[in-house]
Amino acid sequence: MRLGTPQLLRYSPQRAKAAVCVALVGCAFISAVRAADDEDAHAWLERMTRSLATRNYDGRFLRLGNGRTENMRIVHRVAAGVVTERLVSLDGNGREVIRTPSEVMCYLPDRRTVVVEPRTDRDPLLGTVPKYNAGLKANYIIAAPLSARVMGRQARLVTVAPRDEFRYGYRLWLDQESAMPLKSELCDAQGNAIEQIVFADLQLPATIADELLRPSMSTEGFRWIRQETPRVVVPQGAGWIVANPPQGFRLTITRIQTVGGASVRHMVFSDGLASVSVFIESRMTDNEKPGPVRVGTAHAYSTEVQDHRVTAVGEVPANTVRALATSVARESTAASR
Amino acid sequence: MTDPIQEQLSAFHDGELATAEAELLLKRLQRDPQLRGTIGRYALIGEALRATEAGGPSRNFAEQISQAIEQEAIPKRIWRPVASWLKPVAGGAIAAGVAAIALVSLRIAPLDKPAAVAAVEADVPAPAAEVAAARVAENTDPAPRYTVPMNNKSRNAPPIQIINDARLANFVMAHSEYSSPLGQRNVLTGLLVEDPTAEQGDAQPPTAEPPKK
Repeated sequence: MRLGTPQLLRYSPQRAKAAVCVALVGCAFISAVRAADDEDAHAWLERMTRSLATRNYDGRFLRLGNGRTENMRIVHRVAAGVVTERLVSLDGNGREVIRTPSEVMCYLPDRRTVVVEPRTDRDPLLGTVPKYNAGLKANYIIAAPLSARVMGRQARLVTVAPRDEFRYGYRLWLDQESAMPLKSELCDAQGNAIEQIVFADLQLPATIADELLRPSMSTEGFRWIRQETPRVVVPQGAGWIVANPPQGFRLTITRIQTVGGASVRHMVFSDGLASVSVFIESRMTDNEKPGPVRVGTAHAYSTEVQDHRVTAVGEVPANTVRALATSVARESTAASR
Repeated sequence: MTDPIQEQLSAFHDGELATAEAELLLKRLQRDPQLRGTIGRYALIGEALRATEAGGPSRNFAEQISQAIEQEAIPKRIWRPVASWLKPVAGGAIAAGVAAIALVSLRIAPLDKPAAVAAVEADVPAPAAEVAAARVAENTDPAPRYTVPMNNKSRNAPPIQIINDARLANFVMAHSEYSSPLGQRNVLTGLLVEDPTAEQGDAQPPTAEPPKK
């Protein structure tokens, strides 16, 4: 006995049309789910950023990185739109960083020194908030949030993976209620965790006392190193350019400021999430050699360009700051190339 | 607990344990809750020593540290509820989606990847897709695990060269104003915990002025 083609699988124009319709509906559904997941991840990132910038919080956390474990405390207060923050190392050197509306002060008791940097007068609350828009997708893969638990609390795990070696990614465990990052990992392009920050204790009080935002040390006899001159915004580039910035990094602002009595050009590059500052000084000192420097997970690279010292600093891999610093050129020089 | 283990814990907490030894210690931490409690106490001691007048360490700080270190397994992807207006068509659409995949030859991820991630991968270059897949493989591992971030010194990290430290601190602080909140925390914590350079004197003239109030 010979088996014929099943009725269901036989071709007919009606069935072909139905299949095409079914296919289109299916595609539309898949696209809708995918777009919803993208929006969901972006919404969680926005919520996190807003929480970090606008909430009061007081927490102790462990920072693991470079084979070291450090205990730290962060106190962040927002009162009448004014942000004040204190970050304290509870181990070893006991250093502190205090950010007030007008200044950032770094207390270095191990050096009996305080370094003071004036703050810009941008939006104090959300001035540095990155825009988690479609542009980010060119440089990062933002995966749909997963459910997780951290410190016994419901959380959402949002993964932001870099598309290349010029930037870091994040794994963020965000509290379901507050969107605060209870735990975060900074990862390289291969997914290796470079730094891990885990909150051991986090409170979101309605008010925070002034005492918690003052340095815990007496600064009597300390050296104060500060720059007084306010920064001046100048036209983008204005004499200097970065000819070949790494993929995705764009110049966002150029300022002139004074460091140590000398005029310094400060150019900021961003890929939408990570940023790199390029400082150009006309003054050269004999005791400084060009080269890379690591500051925690951030990197700096210093080089010489036409009798100027160029230093790039950013929360990016070493090759990114190097690429930016070594791409700096005088505008006229670059144009004549 | 044996003395060598205590020494290892102490060295680990001080950041002086070699990477290979640290990895072995961390594997042991996964299995040994008593050991996890001990490392929490080391952290507590450190915190207590540095506690400010604002208040000592919280009573359950060591326990919280221990809990924090024990990274919990990440559950599988949980889909969000389908919106009510979609429910009547959702069932048919899912079936339709299956047919659609066959008909229009969409790229299909291996079966062990969550569909959402497969969708994300569909329009990214291959290397990035591999990165994402690796992430997913990590994230769906049901076994409890804890990994300490690698020691950059052992992974071809750049050697430390000399830039005047006060000037670099100025640069880092100036840069932090333009970082995202996460990036800002990264750069500022780096400034606190590590001495990026050898001291070479100051490029800037120190003053005796206190901060502006």
